[in-house]
Amino acid sequence: MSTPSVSVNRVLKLKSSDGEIFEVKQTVAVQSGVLKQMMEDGCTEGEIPLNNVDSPTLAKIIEWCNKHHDNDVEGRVLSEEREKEKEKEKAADMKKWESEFIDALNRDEIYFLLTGSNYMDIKELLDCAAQKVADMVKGKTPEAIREMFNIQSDFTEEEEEAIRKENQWAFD
Amino acid sequence: MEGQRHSRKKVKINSDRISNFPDSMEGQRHSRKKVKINSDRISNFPDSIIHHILSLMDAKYAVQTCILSKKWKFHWAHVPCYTFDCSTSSSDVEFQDFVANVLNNHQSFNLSRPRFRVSGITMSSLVKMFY
Repeated sequence: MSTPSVSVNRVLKLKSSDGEIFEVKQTVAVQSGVLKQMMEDGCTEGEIPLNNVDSPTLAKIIEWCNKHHDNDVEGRVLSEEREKEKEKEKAADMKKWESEFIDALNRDEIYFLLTGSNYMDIKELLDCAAQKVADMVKGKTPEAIREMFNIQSDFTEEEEEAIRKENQWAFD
Repeated sequence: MEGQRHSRKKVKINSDRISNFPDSMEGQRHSRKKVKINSDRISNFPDSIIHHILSLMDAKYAVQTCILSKKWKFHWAHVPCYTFDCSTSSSDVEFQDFVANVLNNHQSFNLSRPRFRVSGITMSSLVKMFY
């Protein structure tokens, strides 16, 4: 992955769908594929409108990116062995932080975070939020999944029975 | 609410590369209050997100989502990468049958190599199952 020429001190002004401005360092914003591309194209002057991301979601996204950025840059003056050890510790700490971060969100917040990270092309965050939803779905009965996500079944009883039969191999 | 609607229009007019969401994103940018009333959000995710979510669980659970509603009937068949776990099948034969059914019915144009999570059977017996 090539890194665009970013300045440590320069900030981007991100504007959420509800009009709030967030200042983010370029070195942090580069985690977003979309913002990275814009930086490479040199079109990040002024406010950057993120019309699909509201302010509470953007705040969460920036919190995630800041945390992952800090993790990348701190502590580089250790011996090689100590550094490897430290890397392992940091990876474990990060996993813990990520699961606490995602577990603290309610279903609505996860929804907005998924669409926001998809929109801004932040792969790690998208993966983390998608895994959370996958974990919520797996192993549950169709009724439980419908209830959890307010999915209304629009099948008749006969249609549902037919689909079950058609895909019997998955319901055994 | 008015502001939200207004900004949605604006996206369409000044459409740029970050606004190229599939149609299924339409209608999602309501205020949070409004969404609460009709909150089947997961069904309204862009297809790519739904397929990504389904690829992160065992294929058996992914296929079983076909029964949730009409919108969900075929999502499982478009998953770009399946994870198969033989512990979700009661026998080797059943597992083999399940994997064959998934792979024969998938509709994804760029199917990645499936991931197999195998416990309790050896790799050679797995290979024998399929070849």
